[in-house]
Amino acid sequence: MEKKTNSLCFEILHRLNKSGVLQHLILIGSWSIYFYKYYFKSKDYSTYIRTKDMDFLVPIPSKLSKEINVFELFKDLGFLEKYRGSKGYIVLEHPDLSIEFLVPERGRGSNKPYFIPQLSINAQPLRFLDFLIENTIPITTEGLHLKVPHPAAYALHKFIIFKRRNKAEKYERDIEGALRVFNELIRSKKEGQVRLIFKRMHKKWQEKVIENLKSIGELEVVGILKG
Amino acid sequence: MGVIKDLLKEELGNSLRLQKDYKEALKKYPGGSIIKKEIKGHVYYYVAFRDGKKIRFVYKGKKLSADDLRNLKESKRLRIKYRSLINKLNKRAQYLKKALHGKED
Repeated sequence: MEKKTNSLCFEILHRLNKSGVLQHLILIGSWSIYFYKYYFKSKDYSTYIRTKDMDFLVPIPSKLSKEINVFELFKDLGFLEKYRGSKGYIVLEHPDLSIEFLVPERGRGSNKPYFIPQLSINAQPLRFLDFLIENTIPITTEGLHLKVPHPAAYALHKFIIFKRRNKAEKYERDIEGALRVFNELIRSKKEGQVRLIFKRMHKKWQEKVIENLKSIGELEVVGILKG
Repeated sequence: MGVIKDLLKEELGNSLRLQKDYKEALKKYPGGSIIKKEIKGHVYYYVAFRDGKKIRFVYKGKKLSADDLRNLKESKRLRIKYRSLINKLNKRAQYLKKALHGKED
């Protein structure tokens, strides 16, 4: 199943690339963990992921100039267009993958979906995503150039948001994934980059990271961040 | 164990929900094959499909536009795809049900 899911993921990325929109998107969420293997280049790094969610972050204001209909782009692969809950965020569902588009939530925030006409999609606004937009790395593989959050930004972002999860399974998955990426950064002797990105965070977010890590007993990680 | 069980339950729920969604989606796409009939030197197009024990023919016209043809072909492709995904989800749901009702250590 994992092999089939991976090939479906690559098919999605290739189609977005061919449509000229991939360069304006950032692949976030657990699929980043998979693509970090091209960054770490370590045999010990585990790319195992337990999710079907494939999340794309759309920086706003968007630089997308072409207009496409993402549902039409993936329809023949068996994706269904579903509106999540009463709010109307669009999710493209398939037995092996669930594609969602996210935008950073700013100001007071709103429950309403954010319509992206260039993609014909209702995106979901979420907090703390600007931090990921500010810290990305390029990954080149199989003729694709995609943007993912810097692994340190990925881990730090998860250290903030895991407490917001309602489901125990998602809570534990966030922590496990973030610690796996964080530990690989330390093994690759990239503490300096981790601290630099941590220091770039808003003071309140830094405090939140420390508080959350202390609450799960990850004092060693706190020590590394504080230098 | 609780977390794993919750995960399996969630996955089972998702599989059943998606299976239902595919069955709904199937209704949007008419089945059948395009049939070309020649009657007294004239060509007529029909869509043939099974309705219970009977095979029905729905008249589409003397000519099929490129759009009609494309829509019918797409509809057929999607029906095949959706059916195969329904089977896949069915197998997954059976597997998850077995796993959920298995004995715990």
